[in-house]
Amino acid sequence: MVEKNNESHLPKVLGPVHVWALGVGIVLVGQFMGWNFTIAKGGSLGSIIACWTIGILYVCLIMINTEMGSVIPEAGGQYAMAKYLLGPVAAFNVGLMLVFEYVMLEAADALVVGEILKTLSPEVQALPYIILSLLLLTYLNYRGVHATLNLNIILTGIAFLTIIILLFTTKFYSPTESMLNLNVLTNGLPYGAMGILGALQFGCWFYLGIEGTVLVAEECKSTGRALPLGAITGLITLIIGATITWFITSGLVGASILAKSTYPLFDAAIATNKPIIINILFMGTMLACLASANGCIADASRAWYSMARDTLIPESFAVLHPKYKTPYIAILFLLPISLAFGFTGLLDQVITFSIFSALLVYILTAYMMIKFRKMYPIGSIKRGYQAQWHPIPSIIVLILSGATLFGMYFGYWINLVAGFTFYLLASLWFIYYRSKFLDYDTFVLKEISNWPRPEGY
Amino acid sequence: MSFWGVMNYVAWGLCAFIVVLFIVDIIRVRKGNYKNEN
Repeated sequence: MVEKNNESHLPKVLGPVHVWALGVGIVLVGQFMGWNFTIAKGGSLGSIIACWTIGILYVCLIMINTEMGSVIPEAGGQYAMAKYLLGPVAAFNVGLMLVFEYVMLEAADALVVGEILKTLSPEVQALPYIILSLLLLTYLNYRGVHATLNLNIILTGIAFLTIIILLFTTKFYSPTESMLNLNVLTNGLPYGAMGILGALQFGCWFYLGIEGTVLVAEECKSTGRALPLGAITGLITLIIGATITWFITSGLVGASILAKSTYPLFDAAIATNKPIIINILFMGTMLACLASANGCIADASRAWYSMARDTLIPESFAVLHPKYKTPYIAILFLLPISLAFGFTGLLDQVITFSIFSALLVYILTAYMMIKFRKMYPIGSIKRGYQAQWHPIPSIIVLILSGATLFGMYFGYWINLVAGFTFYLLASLWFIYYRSKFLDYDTFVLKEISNWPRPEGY
Repeated sequence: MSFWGVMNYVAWGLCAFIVVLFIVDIIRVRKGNYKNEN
């Protein structure tokens, strides 16, 4: 029988740079693939409007996440927040949504790796490389977290650099030599305001996952400093990168082609007809996908581990490897799920389920922030970071997340129904079966007894 | 067989190799081979 490690605590080794790398490393891939489906939904102009609108959502989300994350004393991000603020059923759902958000994202990353390798030769098969990417990165995570995040810093930096290289290759600064032709290649707003609404979901792809920085709160040397500094600089990096990406690709590739592309930045590099740039963007896309999948495997397994440690799911998933001290059973359990979705080859469907899960988490996060401030007003509890202009950020998150879910109806209503059904069935399983095994003594940490009594209780 | 044809098989081989690494390590954990390393 495998014994649960009662000393299941993760070592504190991470600083702001690691938090930045984890956040940006997971998300930067969104510049290299997936975001361009905004053009299919809303046209070129709808795409950049969706990009900036969703950027506002994420600024607000980071603010509220970071405040709550700096108070909650353990790993698990929004899951841990839900534990303390909403109770076991909500926590179970948030944990499940986070896991699926990251598992779908890593599947999408692997899909793109397989597809881009096919551009090398018609004889290349995508499937072995999809599986190899996931297996290799899972093995890396199985062996240890610090090494994988150090690797992510390097991969992320190189991938971001390739976007900058492509930008300067276009000579955008020269009116006579610029390769960009936005006037001819973009298609404005072909579907009007409804197109922008439909595009919002894929606008999330520029930033989805940056909230994962909160998952490593327990592993930070100084949570009050590393978390806000790493997360906010990460978001700024992404907003700049997203705008540059839209600018370059829309100026080099026609909207009708860009709307369907599996790798828009790589297609933009091909449009320059410069072999060295094509090779650089090939490498950038690969590295971004691998860095993202790497971070997702880390995030998803830690969320699953947290749920098991809290007895929301079977405790065998909380066992740490005796030598590597990683949540190895959680890591291995999630691997076949991402492989299964990787097999489908349906990039937009896989992305949509990831985004759907994330949006539900964001809605619950905004609700939790409102409840948190009511229960613990400023000054009643020690906070490492204080979100400004409350409740405006929470309201913005609620409105924009709701609008994005509504926009998902246009073309992906089946995904909406399937997603809601899945989480409903999972909740029923938890309520009528799993809740009997819930151990409230381990569900919340004893440190919570040091918190003051909430207002109104 | 072309270079990329061979590379497909190399990729499949690496996949199998990593799976074997996982299986071997899990067997070692179950047997308690790592207990003395704590």
